[in-house]
Amino acid sequence: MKQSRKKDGENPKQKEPKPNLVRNKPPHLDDIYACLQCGYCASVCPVYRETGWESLTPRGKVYLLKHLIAKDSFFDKILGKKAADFLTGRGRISLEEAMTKIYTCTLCGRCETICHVDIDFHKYWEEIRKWMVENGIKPPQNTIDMYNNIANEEYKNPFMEPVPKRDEWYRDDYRLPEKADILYFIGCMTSYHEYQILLNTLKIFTSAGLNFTTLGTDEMCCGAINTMSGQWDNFKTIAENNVRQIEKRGATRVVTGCPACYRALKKYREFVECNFKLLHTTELVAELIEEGKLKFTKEFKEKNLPIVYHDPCELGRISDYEGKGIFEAPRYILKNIPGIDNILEFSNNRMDSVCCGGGGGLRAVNYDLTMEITLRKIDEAIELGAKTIVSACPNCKAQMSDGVKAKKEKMINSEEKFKMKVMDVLDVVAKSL
Amino acid sequence: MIELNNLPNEVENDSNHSKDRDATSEIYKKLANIVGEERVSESNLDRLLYSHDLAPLPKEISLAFKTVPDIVVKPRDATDVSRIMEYAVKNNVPVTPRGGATWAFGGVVPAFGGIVLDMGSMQEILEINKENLFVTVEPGVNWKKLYDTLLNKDLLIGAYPSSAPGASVGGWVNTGGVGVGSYKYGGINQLIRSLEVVLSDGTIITTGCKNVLNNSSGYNLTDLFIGSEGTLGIITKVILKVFPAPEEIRPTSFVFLDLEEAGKAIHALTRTNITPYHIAFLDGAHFDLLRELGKNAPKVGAMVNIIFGGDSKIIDIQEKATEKIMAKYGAKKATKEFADHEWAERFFESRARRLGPGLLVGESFCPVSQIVEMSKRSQDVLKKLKMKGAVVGIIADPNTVLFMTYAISNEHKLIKSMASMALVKKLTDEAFKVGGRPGGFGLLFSGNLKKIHGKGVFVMDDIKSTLDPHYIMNPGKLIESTTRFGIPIPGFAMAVGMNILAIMKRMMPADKTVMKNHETK
Ligand SMILES: Cc1cc2nc3c(=O)[nH]c(=O)nc-3n(C[C@H](O)[C@H](O)[C@H](O)COP(=O)(O)OP(=O)(O)OC[C@H]3O[C@@H](n4cnc5c(N)ncnc54)[C@H](O)[C@@H]3O)c2cc1C
Ligand code: SF4
Ligand code: SF4
Repeated sequence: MKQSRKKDGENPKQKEPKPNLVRNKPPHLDDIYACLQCGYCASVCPVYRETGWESLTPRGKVYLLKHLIAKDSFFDKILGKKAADFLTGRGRISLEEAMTKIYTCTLCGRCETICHVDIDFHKYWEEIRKWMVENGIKPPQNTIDMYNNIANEEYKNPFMEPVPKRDEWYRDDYRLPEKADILYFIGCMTSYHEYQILLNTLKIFTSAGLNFTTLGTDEMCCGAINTMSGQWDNFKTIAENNVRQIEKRGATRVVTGCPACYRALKKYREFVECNFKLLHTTELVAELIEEGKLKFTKEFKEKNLPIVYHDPCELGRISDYEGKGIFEAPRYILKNIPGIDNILEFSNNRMDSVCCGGGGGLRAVNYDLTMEITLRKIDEAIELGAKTIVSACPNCKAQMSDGVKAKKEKMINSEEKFKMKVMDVLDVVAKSL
Repeated sequence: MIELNNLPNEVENDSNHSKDRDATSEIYKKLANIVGEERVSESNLDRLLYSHDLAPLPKEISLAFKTVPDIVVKPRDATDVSRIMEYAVKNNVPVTPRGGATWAFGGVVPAFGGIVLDMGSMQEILEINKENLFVTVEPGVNWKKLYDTLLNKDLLIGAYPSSAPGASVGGWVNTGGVGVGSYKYGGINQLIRSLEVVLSDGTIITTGCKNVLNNSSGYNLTDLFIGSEGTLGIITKVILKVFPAPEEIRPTSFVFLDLEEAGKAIHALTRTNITPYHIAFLDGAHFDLLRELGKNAPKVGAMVNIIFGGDSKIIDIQEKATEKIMAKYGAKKATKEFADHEWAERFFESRARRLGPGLLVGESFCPVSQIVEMSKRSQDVLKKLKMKGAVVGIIADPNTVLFMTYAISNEHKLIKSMASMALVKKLTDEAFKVGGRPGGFGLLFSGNLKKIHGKGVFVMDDIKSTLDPHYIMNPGKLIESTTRFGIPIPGFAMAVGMNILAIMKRMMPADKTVMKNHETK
């Protein structure tokens, strides 16, 4: 893996070995100085909720950045840095520790909803990570491995799964055309882990008589992991590759069920000309229902009722900040499923939705922490009386399924029992066809 | 990869963060033994982040105070706190309790290093008792979260600070605050049934009675700890009274030609039996600054926001009566949408900080009868110091206005921003002149205590030394200003220093605010 990376010859991390954060000021410098330190952001941050450390609040991270880029004070100059440090009791800050703090974040963007001075956190955290990497600070090892796996021709995905496995699930059962108007961009998570969503999506599209195709084994990871972990240097190559493949199939509409892919594909426009319209599967399926192209024949299983819908951060809030949040399409679909009369809501929903825990690449940095966030979410679902959590993101599904498993293991010796199914909106739709 | 030798001064790469000072420091081991390793840190990074509050103190303050703690601990419960205090008292280590760190008086900033107790780690709502109308919370519970949770259960928390999304219950108890809702329900001192407090030697006491009033004979221990700025004990539980949620909370806003007319109208309103839930006022400059920020804010002379809470029919009557009074002073009623927006903005008073970047707030209590006079004086102080800012405030009770006048400063310019601190002193002086008093004391303003309480300060001193004979409970705050090398700062020296700063500020050119490429949504 490492070798293929070297062949790229574009590793800025090795070109710029000396981080000089004081000279190479970060983006959004005004925001760093504007911060009031009011701590409102901490009250909504899921990472702070579970850890309780100031260093993991948005406020603490902004303060930390301000410190890292600060010039020597008057004091440092007259006394010398060492003496000043001794007198103040401050010491040198470990850059690696600072990096870990910045990366301990789900990039859920919830802090933006309450910021006193309107910091655009949905962009800010990503750009700070990019700035750190550009300045030679190594991101977490797991994310470097993922980066390398994506760049590796044998994988083209972060999970080191072989390329041929990408379309193994459906290659023989679905004879998809070479060219089609609609292109279903599946995404690595759905292709390799949450393939139930993939199969259900194909079933729905076929049943609606859509003229669609996929990129098959030509699909390459969308690059979301790269953007989240600050490793942007080959993002353009990834964008070019995927856009070329999409164009080859003559698609005018690209649809994906993965909110991370959805956002990454949207970013392609900043690097390559894109002549297609981008949709999330829930938008397309809502359209199909409206046009009467989907015939539901089966009722949603009563024993799995009631359901609660979880807004994925990237599909809802963050997409809203980037132009248009998708909140209603999934709810509209669910309301149309026979047997579902009522959708429960989490106490914080839509723009205020609390992350499932699995966002921002945090799974790669601190998996246990993501589980704690998830368990709190699941506890709320139980308290609401829900039997099924429905989401519209393969990452949320994987994370919350893990959470349910973890909770069951925790309760193995307890009297209490609980039942909770985790489904994607498209799983629900496919089951009713 | 980072080359270690080539790092700039400020940073260093080492992987084990708990070890970057002294991996096996005695205090670390002892405290980790009490609360567990994951709840203690002495990494440089953590210590730095627990060395400040809202106010950006220059590094040079270290000549006077050791603001960086030696260690940060996150207790789980009163027993943890008690054991930590036992350790601290035995080893003479200062302990500084910290809530949301949203108070700008340096209350949470250690004066002599030692332990910072992060009470934010105790943030559970323990009991909501509808039957007896109380709620028991841990001190780290966030006011906004508590307000929202209770409202969901048809209960109302009487009052909360306008920093509710950031402030902790324990913090507001210790600053003895008034805030949103105080006009009807009183300040925090009127809302507490009982406290659980850990004293400096580790003893855990309860100060009141959770079901009923504490008004009978017997020294009132609860009140002793309210507003004690963490200098008498660590609060580990707070029992608050709660009220049935009102049928409606109805915000209204009135636009005035200037602050003078607004002040007169407020004065008139407070002399009636109309009891709004909350009253706030802002001068036109506040909205000018918001427009400068790119916000959609109106051009007005002054704004008064009056919020009613209760049964809709009663509100109807009160609103009509209020409208009449306001109209007498030339007010125009703003639209419902605007009033709702103003109500939602009640937490966001300090947006203008971005314009500096920097913001100073001068807090003072004044009689409502002097509201016009104090407004004028505050505006004059801003003018004389050539600072941009606004006069804003809330009405805490029928005869108390809390002024929270703010001014924009520039943190990048050390001398200038130090000089700007004179604002706070000047506003305090004006408050005394109109028969009022400043707000808190904290790290820098203990000089005011004697001015307000005279010989009473000696009684306070006796209380302090009885409850905290070793002076380890948030030392250096409220009743003593001793700097780190044992040099006391007498109140007058502080005052002289501040006056010099004020003179400097007046000689400097006026503050300009510069906006750099920021797009607001
Ligand atoms: C935008 C804004 C608006 C504000 N509006 C108001 C307002 O309307 N009314 C008002 O009164 N104040 C207001 N404040 C000031 C401040 O937010 C409040 O005083 C708030 O209640 C402080 O809470 P905190 O948790 O942040 O306390 P901190 O700043 O953490 O602590 C304050 C003091 O209490 C002590 N302390 C904290 N917790 C404990 C504990 N558990 N045991 C013992 N001591 C403890 C600390 O040592 C310190 O001395 C405002 C501040 C801001 C930034
Ligand atoms: S993006 Fe989410 S997890 Fe990250 S700091 Fe903001 S609120 Fe916390
Ligand atoms: S809410 Fe915004 S201004 Fe307040 S501390 Fe957080 S980042 Fe800073």
